[in-house]
Amino acid sequence: MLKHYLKIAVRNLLRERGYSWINIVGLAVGMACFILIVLWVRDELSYDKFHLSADRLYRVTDYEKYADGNEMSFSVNPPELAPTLIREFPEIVDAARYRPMGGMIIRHNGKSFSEDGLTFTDASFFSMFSFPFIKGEPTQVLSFPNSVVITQRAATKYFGDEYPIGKILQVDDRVDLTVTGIIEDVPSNSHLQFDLAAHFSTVKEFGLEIEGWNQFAHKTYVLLAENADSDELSLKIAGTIQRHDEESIVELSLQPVTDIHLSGDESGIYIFSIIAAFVLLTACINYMNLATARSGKRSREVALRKVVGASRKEIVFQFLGESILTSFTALSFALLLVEMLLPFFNQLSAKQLSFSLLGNSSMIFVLLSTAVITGTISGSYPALFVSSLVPAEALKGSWQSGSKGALFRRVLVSMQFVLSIALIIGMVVISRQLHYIRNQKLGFDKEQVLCISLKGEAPRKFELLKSELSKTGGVAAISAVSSPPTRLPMSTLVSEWEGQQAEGEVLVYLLRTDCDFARTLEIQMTEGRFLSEEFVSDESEGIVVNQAAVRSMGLESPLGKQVLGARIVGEVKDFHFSSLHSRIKPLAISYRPDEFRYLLIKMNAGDISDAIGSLESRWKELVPGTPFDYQFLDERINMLYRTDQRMGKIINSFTVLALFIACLGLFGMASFTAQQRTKEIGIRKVLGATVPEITFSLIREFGKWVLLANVIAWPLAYFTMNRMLEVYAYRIRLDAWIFLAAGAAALILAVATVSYQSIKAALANPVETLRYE
Amino acid sequence: MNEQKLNAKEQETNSEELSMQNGVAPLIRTTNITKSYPSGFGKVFVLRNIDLEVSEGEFITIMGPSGAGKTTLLNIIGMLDEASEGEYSFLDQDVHKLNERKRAELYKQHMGFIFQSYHLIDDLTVYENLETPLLYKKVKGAERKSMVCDTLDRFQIVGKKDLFPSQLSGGQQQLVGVARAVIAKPRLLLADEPTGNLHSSQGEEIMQLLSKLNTEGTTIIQVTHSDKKASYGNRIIYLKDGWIVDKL
Ligand SMILES: Nc1ncnc2c1ncn2[C@@H]1O[C@H](COP(=O)(O)OP(=O)(O)OP(=O)(O)O)[C@@H](O)[C@H]1O
Ligand SMILES: [Mg+2]
Repeated sequence: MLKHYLKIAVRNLLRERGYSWINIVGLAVGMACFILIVLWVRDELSYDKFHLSADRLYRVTDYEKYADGNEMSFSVNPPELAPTLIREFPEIVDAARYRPMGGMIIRHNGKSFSEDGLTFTDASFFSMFSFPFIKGEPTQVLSFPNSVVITQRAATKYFGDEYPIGKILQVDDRVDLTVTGIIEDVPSNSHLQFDLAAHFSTVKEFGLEIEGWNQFAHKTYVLLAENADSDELSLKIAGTIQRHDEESIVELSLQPVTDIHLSGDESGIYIFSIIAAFVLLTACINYMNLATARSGKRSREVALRKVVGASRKEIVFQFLGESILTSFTALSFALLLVEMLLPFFNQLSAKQLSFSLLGNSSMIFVLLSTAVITGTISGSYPALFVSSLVPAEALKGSWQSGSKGALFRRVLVSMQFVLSIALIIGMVVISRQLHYIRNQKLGFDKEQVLCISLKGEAPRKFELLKSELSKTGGVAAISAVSSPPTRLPMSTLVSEWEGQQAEGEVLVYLLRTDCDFARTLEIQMTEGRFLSEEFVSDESEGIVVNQAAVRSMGLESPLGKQVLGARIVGEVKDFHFSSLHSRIKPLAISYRPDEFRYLLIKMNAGDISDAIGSLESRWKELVPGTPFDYQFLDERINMLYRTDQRMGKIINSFTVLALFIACLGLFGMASFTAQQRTKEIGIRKVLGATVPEITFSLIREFGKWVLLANVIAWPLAYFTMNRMLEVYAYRIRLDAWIFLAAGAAALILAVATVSYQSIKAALANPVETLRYE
Repeated sequence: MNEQKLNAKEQETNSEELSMQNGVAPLIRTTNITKSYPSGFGKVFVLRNIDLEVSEGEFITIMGPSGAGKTTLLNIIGMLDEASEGEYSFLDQDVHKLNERKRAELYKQHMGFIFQSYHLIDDLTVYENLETPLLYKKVKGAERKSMVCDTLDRFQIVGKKDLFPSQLSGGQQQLVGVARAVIAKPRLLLADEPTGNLHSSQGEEIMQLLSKLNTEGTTIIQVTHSDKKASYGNRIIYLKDGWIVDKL
């Protein structure tokens, strides 16, 4: 029986090649999208789950609310917190501090490398987290100061073929680290990313405290006891810092380690899952549509089967079998497509997803059930529909599949358009938002500014570098800063200042820079002046604040006020010193040369690459051991929106695919309708209808439903997009034109797809079509 | 006229007696079968109050002018269509009360259908067309194969077994249609103008075949316009405007 069904299914697929291709291509593209998204989502959800005690690992997070209404969540804590938590809470079995430090220069055997993957952590780290060891005992490796565990990648980078254990790495010419262990490279689905993990106490060599409650610099991870209640514990630890430091307003809580990667950014998962479902559903709808439309053709076969003894159930099985066969055929094409598209998708999504079925039983299960479910959904309606026919009617030819299924098919097509229009709106809104962000006035000039990080001995030689580099051609201005305007600077809690109106604390970000900063970035003053060499006192007690700080502190006339142990000499116009995801925060700018880590170099218009060449050669003479790592400031700024842009691109790609599938289905439907109406069109032409009239009447039939789809899609898209834009503090308005344009685009697409078939039908010679009957 | 009516009456009692004698109920009994279609505000009646009894082994011919309702009646008896009113029992089961599944079961165990036009499944070869009823009857592989081969032999169409219906002549198609109807050895064979589209000598052949099947024990109900073909049967039922009448 099965063989019989299979035979019939294959013959049907082959006989109606056009429809079969539409179905298979549609389903294959839909499934390929679905598989890619499943891979992506699975990867996103897999973050940090590989740790053996993943369900008991938590990160301590902090929350503060300030007098100016601002609030902040963060996850760095004072060094004293970890030992205190272990001591005070029996539910906390173990704890580890974790402090990454980028921009290091590490030397070995006379060769120096720049290193961004150095981190400092407690001895317990490797027993809490399960990073697989190649050499060394997890509980032993970080047992003495200056010990370091390195990844395989770092081992190859620094030691090549040498045996690394016991060897010395010299960090920033100051600190020697001894290699005590080697681990496998940190998997990409770990939120902790590092290449070298050194003993925690070593961090004090780099100016950070290793005890006390004042410096919020370290991430703190805890391992809970087997049956500890994390919610309860989270409440219990909330006031720990406040208990030990009366000034503090920090409230602590626990965040599962497995939630960290997605925290605050689950929207991607939802959006992609919805898109995957959309795309697959669209393909299923195509199948249902075409199969139902064609059921007229097969009604005779079905009637005859009933005549020779088929029960309704057997007919349903046969039709479901056919759709499942189609969906399995599509699945095999989809697998090929995935194989082909994966490199592009990886590039698009900046992931290293791999796809292999061997031994991956869960993936095989997902695929098989996808094919079966897709086939069942696709085939269910046509099967139930066609199996219900009365043989006597069908054999007489009076069983009108056209009229019975017509409403259903139109509803399905409209549903496809609802999805398509919503996706088009999403695509437009996201790209507009990204455009808006790129072109938003930042309050400074980001063009032709080089940003060079100061590593190794370079920070100590910044004066020399400034004066010497500005002598090379093409440089307009140079300024040294603690952090460039892309990176959130350090912050401090200010609770008292001159001119304070009411009790309360304000969080102020601290930017350390020199007198040339405002000139280099063309930042405008609204009051007073910028830091200046003409005023020697500026060096120790001059401070410049932004408008946001003045507002937050409620200062009426900021000039001359004592704040943060200094006197305000000027007020700068607000500029975006971090990403547009958040509003401009209070900022205080002062001179602290020991914190300078970057040079900002404003170049003159002209041949920049030449100028950079001469900068580099001069740099090599001045600080030979330090790499000349530079980036353009505008590129750095674009990097802030990398994730958003990536999401935008992925959504665009899938939208295009969804539209492709929808059009494919529409094309099939239009050709079916035209075919079905050949006779009617012929009669109409004989009666005097013109070609444009007939074409228009066919197009109108679909157009009506596209318009209806708009009405449903608009509110749907409006609410979803509003949610999506919430992550931006600065966002576009959802103007009506976007919705109208998306609707029009869908309509045009539909008309274009339908027109070909309609015009062809309208142009056909009536004498022939009628005789053919 | 009177005599005719009497005869019909007599025949009826006779057959009743016959079935009584044998102690078995008739194969088919319809009471008051009516078929109507909605039309405008009212309905049109295609069949009216059809009372019919058919015993096992009969060869019945239904005759009547075009549009009289012959096909409709045959379809209702063959369970391809449902009556609007009335009762229909087949092998002592009330067909009008059965659910779709049970009805399909009853149908496929006992009935075969031959149509006026050839009505084979276009996508299947001759062999497969013959095999299909057996598949639905869940006949096992080897037995199925031998039944199909026997039938191909018997109808002398072995050479055509791998052809598709479109590759056969009308007569050959009809032959396959008959073969398909009888392959599963139905108790009741329904034939709606089985020779209507055929050349007379081909028609003759088919009629002889039916007659042979009847002597082997198959009950047959045929519809025809031809008196000659009616003569193969042993009883004639006349239909006119949906009524059973004694004579046209
Ligand atoms: N679906 C329908 N709706 C309305 N009337 C119908 C329908 N199907 C059949 N009829 C009517 O039922 C009547 C009987 O039809 P039927 O096919 O049974 O006639 P017939 O006796 O087999 O005629 P013929 O000898 O031409 O085959 C006809 O008058 C036909 O118009
Ligand atoms: Mg008829």
